[in-house]
Amino acid sequence: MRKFFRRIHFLLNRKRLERELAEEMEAHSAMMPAERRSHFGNTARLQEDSREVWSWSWLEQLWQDLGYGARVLGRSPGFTFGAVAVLALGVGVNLAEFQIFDAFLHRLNFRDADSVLQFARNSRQGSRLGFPHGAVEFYQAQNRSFTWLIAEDTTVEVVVEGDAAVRTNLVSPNYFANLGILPAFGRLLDAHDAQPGAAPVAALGYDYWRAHWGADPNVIGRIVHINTQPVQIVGVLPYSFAQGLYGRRTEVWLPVSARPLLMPGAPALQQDFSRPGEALFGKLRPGVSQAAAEEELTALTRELARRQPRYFGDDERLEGHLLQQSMARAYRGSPAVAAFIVMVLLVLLSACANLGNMLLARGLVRRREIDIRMAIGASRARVLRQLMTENFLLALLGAAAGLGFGAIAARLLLTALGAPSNFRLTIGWPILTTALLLTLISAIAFGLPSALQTVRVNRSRVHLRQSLIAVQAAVSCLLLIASGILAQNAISSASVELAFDYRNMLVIYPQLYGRNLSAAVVQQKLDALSARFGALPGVEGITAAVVPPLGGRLMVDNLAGLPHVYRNAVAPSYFQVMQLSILRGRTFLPEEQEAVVVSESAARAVWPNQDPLGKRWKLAGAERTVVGVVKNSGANLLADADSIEVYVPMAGPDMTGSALILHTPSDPASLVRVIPGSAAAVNETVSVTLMRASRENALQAQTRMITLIGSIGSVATTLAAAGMFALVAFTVAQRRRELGIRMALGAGPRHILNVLLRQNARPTAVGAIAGMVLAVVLSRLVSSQIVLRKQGSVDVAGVAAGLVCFGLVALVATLSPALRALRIDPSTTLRDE
Amino acid sequence: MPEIPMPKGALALLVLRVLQSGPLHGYAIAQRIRQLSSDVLEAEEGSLYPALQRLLLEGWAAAHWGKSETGRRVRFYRLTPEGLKQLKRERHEYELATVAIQTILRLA
Repeated sequence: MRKFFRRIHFLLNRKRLERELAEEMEAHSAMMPAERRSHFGNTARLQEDSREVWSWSWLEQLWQDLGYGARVLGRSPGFTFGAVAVLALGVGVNLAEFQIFDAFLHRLNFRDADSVLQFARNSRQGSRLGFPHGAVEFYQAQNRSFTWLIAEDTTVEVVVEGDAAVRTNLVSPNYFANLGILPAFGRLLDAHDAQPGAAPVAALGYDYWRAHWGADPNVIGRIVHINTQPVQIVGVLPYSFAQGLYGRRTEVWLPVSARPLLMPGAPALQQDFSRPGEALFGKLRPGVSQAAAEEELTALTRELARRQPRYFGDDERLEGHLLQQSMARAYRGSPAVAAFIVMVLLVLLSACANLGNMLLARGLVRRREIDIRMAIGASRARVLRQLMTENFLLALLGAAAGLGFGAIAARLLLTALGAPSNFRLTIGWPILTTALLLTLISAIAFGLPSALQTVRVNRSRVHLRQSLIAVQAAVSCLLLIASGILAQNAISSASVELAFDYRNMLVIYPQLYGRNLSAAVVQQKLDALSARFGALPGVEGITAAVVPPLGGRLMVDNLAGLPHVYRNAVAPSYFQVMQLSILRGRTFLPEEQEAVVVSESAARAVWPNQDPLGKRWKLAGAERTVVGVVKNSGANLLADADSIEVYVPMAGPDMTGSALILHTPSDPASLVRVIPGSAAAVNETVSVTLMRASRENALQAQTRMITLIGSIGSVATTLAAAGMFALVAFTVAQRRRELGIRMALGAGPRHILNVLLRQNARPTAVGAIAGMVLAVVLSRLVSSQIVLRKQGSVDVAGVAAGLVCFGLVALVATLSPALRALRIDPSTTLRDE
Repeated sequence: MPEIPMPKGALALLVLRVLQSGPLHGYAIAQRIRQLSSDVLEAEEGSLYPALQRLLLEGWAAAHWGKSETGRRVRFYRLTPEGLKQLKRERHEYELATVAIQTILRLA
């Protein structure tokens, strides 16, 4: 150990100690008798030998290599700049995408995000996430295990100033304070707003504020009418908190105490157990284990079950799971995200391949220098180490530039994705470590093969260069094709014809679940609600279905030999209200439980060339008879171009989850305001959505994806194009004399072009084909996640678009320098030496 | 007596031994070795100074500046306690090795 410190001491005081050593040897030499003085030896060599005793030799050599590498890079600034630019692109894009993924797609930044628990009620009937308000208050008052407990209610939809179906989140008084959320403007809701008698206030979500209020800061203080009640806007949420903890994007935030105001006729908030609409979240007190907290909550729940047996099962257990985990599962586990990350890394690979080629080209130029070094006696390993040190230097510079470029790229991408201009992306440790890691990987990836090539005595440079070109071509082709497929998908998706008038339809979700209602009671309630809503002015039709079209639910059966069967359980009036004309047969009779109505595509698929009426089919647990054939609705074609639809009557436990569908040829938005009140009059609470809203959301998500992938694709293509251009240009420069001679001997333009391009044409083609195959494979893998319509087949148009795009770029990139070669004047080149 | 090259590894041992009697400067060390071996062994300056630096690094010797007999400013080296221990260790090893070599030469 002390030896180590002695070394350090020497290194720190090197100059002084070396001077002293020289002085000492001087003295020694002076003391020697004259005739022996020549035996002393070379002082400089002695100095070096002595120095070597003290320092770590590898450190010395590394220092040497670094110095040399820096000088070499400095001597060829053009190359260094180009290489750093290429790396900055590759590394920078990666960093930008990582940052964006983390920050933007989640849009959920709050304090202690990794220790917040969400609670579920587990019982015989399954796991539910909704708590009634009375229970939340009880837990908040009685618990000892939590630093805080908050709740949010995302089931209430309101009309704001005539704008229908605005999504709200009704939150506990201490919600924002506990999560550490600071407003973008104004203030956020706090405990004062929950006091009895406090004036009703609301805060706006950032997107909503921008889209509907023109990002006007003067909206703060204004009174707006929410469900016809005057409410004052007091603030705007920050961009980084767009969804509640439950994960639903929120447009207007209100205190939970505002619920009775917004839903007249709904039961008073205090001690209200009838509506399990709130999701419960909590943070454990330090020192309390999760198990202990769950026990306490379960015990409190048992107490509640004793007091309110109607609303709580006696076997309910409360279980908590980490919020961060479930979100991470939702996003990071998805193959779409994994595929995305893979694609982004491929850009880095392409950059490295590009750089590898550049280094190979430079190896040609430096051949003399390296040959001399090896001839003097440097071992191959030594030269290799020196070359790799240069490459690491380059990678370091590239990564540093990449950080800067990544910030710009991230900003550009965010603008393209529609984020506001003051959205801050922090460069935290994860980003920096990623940058470092990428640096190391890229230095090895591009440096090692070319360095190995350069030091090898027998150099066949051609194969490596060709494979590098192939890699670049493959990556850019892959990304371009992926963009093509997605774009094609979006276009065809936007043009699907829906048979029903979705623009004028509402979906109403009565809160029938979780209340232990029998099927008969549920049917009664649905009938009562249908009757009430049907009597509203402007309503043309009302029906019920378990899977409302364009909603978030699906019931899909995978039957052998058939495409995906999208099943729906509907009321007999469904087909008429949805304008799905009955082509053959009839709809269900009331009480008919074992019938099935099929769509025309289903009829064609299951009984080709036959009349399906009267046929028997085992479906959804019963042997059913086909009683009718209807037109395709088109709703499921958006997600699955080969799907077929079938309809069974509503029955049994399914019904508690059913929704009412309302058709009104006049503006449906006006009805959204009225419906909750109408339902409250019969003691029911409902939430209402506009059918067209969900369609727009889906399309927006697609556009975003295309933007992201398209941007990566263009970066990769730029890299590939630049690489090809540089390579051909370099070849032209290298072989000027040879080309001049050829032309002097009578070679025509075609011959010259042939000579120049032949070497690179084959790897480019091979790479393009590899890219195409990979793209098809990848698209198959993620088809379920990115809503690709043609699941089983290859999207030819998309692939073709991508290939054509790549081909054009490659052509232009290689031909332009090659064509310049044709202008070589043989007489001039032959004269120049 | 004829001069023979310094056996490998012996220089450090000899320097340590020489220093045991008291601090000496570099030239004096070389002189002493030559004199005590009757000119058979020569401490080449080329190897002496790196060896002295090595002793400093390992902590077996310490150095300080002083004045030589002639008044020049020279660096004196002295043995440290660790150096003494190292001297004993190396000497012991050397003696074992010598006995072994001699046995083989006699009996083989």
